[in-house]
Amino acid sequence: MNQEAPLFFPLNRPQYVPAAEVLVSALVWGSGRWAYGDDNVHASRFLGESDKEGVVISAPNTSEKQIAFAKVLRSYGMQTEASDEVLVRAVVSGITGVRSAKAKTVPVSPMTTHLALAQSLRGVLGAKNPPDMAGVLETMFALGESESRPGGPRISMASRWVLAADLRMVDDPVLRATDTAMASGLGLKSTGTDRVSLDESSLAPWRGQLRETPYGWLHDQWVKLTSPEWVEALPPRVWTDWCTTVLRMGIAFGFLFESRWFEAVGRSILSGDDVPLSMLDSSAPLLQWPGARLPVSSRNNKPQMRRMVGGGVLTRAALQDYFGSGSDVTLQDALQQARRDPELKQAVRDALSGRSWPGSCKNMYETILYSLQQRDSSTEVDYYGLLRKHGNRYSVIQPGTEWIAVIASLACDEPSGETNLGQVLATLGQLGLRPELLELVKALEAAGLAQGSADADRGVRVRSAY
Amino acid sequence: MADAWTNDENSVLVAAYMELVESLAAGKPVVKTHVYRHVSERIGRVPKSVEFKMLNVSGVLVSLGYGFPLGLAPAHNFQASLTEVVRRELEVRPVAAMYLRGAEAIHQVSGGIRGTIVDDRAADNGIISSEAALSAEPSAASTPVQPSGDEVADATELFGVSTLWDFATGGADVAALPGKRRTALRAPSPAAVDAGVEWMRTALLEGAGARRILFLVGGPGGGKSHVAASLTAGLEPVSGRDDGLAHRSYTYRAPGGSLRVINDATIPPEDWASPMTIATELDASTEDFVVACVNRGVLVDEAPEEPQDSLGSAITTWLRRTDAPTEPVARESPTGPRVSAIGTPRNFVRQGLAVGGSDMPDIDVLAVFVDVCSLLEERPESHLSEEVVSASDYEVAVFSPSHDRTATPAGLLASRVAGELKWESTGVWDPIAANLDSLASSRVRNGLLSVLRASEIASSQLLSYREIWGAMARVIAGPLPETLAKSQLCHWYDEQAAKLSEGGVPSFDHMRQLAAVRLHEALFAEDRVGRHPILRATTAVDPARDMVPGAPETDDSGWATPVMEAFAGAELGASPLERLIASAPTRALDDMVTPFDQLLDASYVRWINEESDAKQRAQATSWYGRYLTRMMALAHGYPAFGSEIHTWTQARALAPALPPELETALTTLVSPRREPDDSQSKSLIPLFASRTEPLRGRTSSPTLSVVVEDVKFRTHADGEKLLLYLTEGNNRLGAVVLDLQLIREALASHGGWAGMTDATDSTAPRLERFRSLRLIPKNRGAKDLRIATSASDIALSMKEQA
Repeated sequence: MNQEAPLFFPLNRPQYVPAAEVLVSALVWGSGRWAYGDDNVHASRFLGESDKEGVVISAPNTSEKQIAFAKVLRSYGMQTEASDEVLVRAVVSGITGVRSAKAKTVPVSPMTTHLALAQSLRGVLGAKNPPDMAGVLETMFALGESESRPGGPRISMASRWVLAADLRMVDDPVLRATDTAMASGLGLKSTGTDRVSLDESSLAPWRGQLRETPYGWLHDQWVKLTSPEWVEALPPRVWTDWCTTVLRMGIAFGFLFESRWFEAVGRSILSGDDVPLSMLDSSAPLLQWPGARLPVSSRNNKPQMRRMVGGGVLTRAALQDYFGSGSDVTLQDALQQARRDPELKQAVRDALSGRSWPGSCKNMYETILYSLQQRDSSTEVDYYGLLRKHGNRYSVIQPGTEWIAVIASLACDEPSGETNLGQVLATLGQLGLRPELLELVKALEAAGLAQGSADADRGVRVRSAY
Repeated sequence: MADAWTNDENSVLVAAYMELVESLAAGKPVVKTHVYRHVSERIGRVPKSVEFKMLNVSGVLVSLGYGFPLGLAPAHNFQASLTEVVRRELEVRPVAAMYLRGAEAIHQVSGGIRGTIVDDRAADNGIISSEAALSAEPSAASTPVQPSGDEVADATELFGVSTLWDFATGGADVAALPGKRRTALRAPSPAAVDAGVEWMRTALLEGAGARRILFLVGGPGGGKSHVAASLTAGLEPVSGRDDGLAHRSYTYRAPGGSLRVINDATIPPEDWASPMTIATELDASTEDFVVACVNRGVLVDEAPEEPQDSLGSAITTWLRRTDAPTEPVARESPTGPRVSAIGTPRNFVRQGLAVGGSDMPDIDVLAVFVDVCSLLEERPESHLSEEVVSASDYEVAVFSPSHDRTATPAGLLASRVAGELKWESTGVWDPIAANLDSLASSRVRNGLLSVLRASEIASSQLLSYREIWGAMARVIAGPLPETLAKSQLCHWYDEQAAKLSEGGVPSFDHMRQLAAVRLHEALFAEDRVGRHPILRATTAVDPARDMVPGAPETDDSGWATPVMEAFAGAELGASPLERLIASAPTRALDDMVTPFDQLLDASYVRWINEESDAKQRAQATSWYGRYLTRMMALAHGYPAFGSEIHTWTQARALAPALPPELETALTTLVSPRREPDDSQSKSLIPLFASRTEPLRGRTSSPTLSVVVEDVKFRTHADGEKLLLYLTEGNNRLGAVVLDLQLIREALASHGGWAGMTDATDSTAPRLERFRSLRLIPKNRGAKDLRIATSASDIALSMKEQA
């Protein structure tokens, strides 16, 4: 990393998505390969209120839809004496996602391409111009690439996922039939190949520089998870849950990283010191993960997150105002110019003071916090969350057992493989976490993936969950 | 090959050895080479051969439970006839016998030297002069590095109980220092260590064709640096560091060549400018022989920094392998530097030939993993033959409280400690004296060993020597080493004596406080923080958690009925202890109970008859009930969950099969029937659920499901780990660790009902992943699909599509 790097990351602003499953859907829709066949339809949601114009409910929630859905299921191989209604209800029950306690919509679990397409961000959020989360994720993925990516067009996150989902259906006739039935109901039209388009000129200066950051983590985990070995090793729902977990963590830590970057830039402007480059690698954690023996109040992550987000978002905004949106100013030039401008320095000072908390900060904070936190669901416990709420004031790192399973398993070279604690720590370091060794071992033991040893330290053997 | 030594030759040699010992006992300096020469002239063997035979005599002494003089570290491959000669000599040389048995056997390097062996070859080289050897200053020529966790005691302190303070966990400075005192009360070596030491010692004394590297791998407190020190005993140091600090490595001159000892690879090299990994240190070392004490974490940490394709990195890659590789292991290219297996590797020892290529000389490598085998199980046999170390497989005995563990490494150590400790009782109320009294019984010691072994299985963590020592400290001195400085022990005793009420009879409250030191209380004391290395293991098997009705030493697995019945009548003035002894008249309990316990019992009976507050009485009775429970259980070796522990060891012994009862229980746990009481009911798991919890009873909506039947299991044992595989035909679908928690969960299952225990939270994730293996399409049969409706299920199949 050098001072010729750009000041700004080419990331759009996010918004919290209440159903993590919709992130996968957003990616698939973001590929541009599909469009609604009906010009009057602009969005879809799986289940929920259907009063929005242009929003279609994709679940077979009427008799007519059920009959049609069942017909396709049966024509694609499902044989049973159960009635159409029972058959369809059973399938719908299986593909329904996690119901959030407060959400108005019920997501679908995107186990196949058309299940993913059964909901869109616009449909779920009910917003005409929802945030471009697909663009955010694809950009983060590209930022995390290594320098040695083979030449030729980048294979987007969306394409990788679609290929993986299609591969899964080869061996799973139930999913294949379900996907086809959903496709039939959606009536989408194909527009051709992947159309993910990123601003390569803004990405090029970062190439290979951000490997030890959450962007590198997102890139590596997504490539691994969408590889044939992992697709075949995991049950369908588990694979889908792992995908959404990777996306949740990528978004949360990706923006935490950006916030800290700008916070550091702001301090550098005021102090005159160089931006500490160590913040750009895995040695500086984004969130503290202290031991569980400490009281909850000492482990609360909210204050640190608020400070980082507040300082980062507002500093970024001040610098964007100064240099212009879309600016490709380098870090070095930006620091030099900024340090000479008293007004800008004051704006940065105000940004870092923590006195202001506009909607942009709240939005970013909620995106990060709720992506990391275990979800409140009316139907099941979220074992894929990293943070756990303790009342309204506290949110501490207390990873769900399946969160640990995802992290540890993907640290292995292959399914059913083994790795060691050092490698898991390295993976977590990429993400921005540096837990105490003992805490991590305890979490792995609780998940049934490792057994601590007095000797091994970082050599403790860790098994893949699958 | 030389002729075997005759009895006459052995007699001359052993007599010379004992005369040497007698000289030491008298405080006279001895020059070893003079002794060798003298014997050589008498029997016509070369001095070198005499010297080596002397080491064999030390080996015999160790096998007989004696110590040996510094500078004559044992060689264990000795003639059987030599043992008889040594025995005879000991019988007629009481001074030597006493010296070798007691603390005087050990030469201190700091203060109080009784006598020192001087190697005049070393003296000629100016390394050790006789004056220096007789001085009270630490000598670099003495045993260089000793871990605190392995040592027993300051031998010249007559091995008082206070020395346990050095070995209670967290008591002593753990830094390995050169010149640390050695001890007569050595613990038996972990598996394969003796053979490994012999393998290296032979080369050190006689030279070898190729370079040799001995790795001792394991955690702190496993005895690695103690072993390394024994190899360097009497050798001339080249790097003479005597600054009181522990260093990463040391070099020596040995008759067979030069030796580098990497004593603690966690200590970085002094030259920070050129950081060195073990691999680069091996590549760079020019010594003929290397002994390296390594922990696995260091090997993993250093892997990214290692050179890509060097002999050193090939060796460390071989060392990092968690299996016992039989095929050549290379870091990079199979044609580059690699290590080829020699002999049959075990998970605790492996041997190989490191081949580097045309410019690099081959290196013989031997790795002993000192913490793979439990010290509470029979040590696997190992021996050295024609330069190859071979060892029997590590076996885990099927657990039973009565199984004899006294011959295990920990058992031998416990026996020595209990036998050698010196303590003068201050009265009947003295809990330390009571502990030593109880531990004098081999039955009680065996009970203790049984419980410690159970704690290993329950916690899935083996106890190192450091922890065994810590356990011994705890069962002898209770929590006192952790709450008092050693120097305060006498004062504490004075305080206790002063508290005795008029007439010298302690109150019940006072006795309760003293009882915290009693071995069965101390071993199961509450570990609030969860980090006490002993208690976090032993509290998991606290017998008070699992009182199984029955009578001890009968055919069933119960033991607690006498304790439960002991308190009937306590309010009428009856003694619970007397009732207990009457209803469980076993030798073990008889050995366990001491006058201290009788005094405690009397104070309880007196107090309960005088105290009117019901709550206080209930609390006191609860406490005393727990006290007697633990005493009873420990005397006989009954841990909590003994039955489940037995099942685990049974499963391990039967691997790859399972005990029938456990197999049935696991089947119920993994695939419980939807209607438990209906034997025709199927086990169904949702096809697309996030959590694969089996369907139970009625469902609120139709659910796509998979039938789970014909569940087949196989197991695989790897050291202390037991893996349970879900199989279909010859295919393994996936695995889960089968530990005590999972076994408890399984054995809590009955009929069609899946069990639940306090471990359910930790076993549930594993079980769900295990079940979900059936949801992977390739593991699903065509006829396995169902639609579960509210009360029944309807078949669902997938017709093949063109």
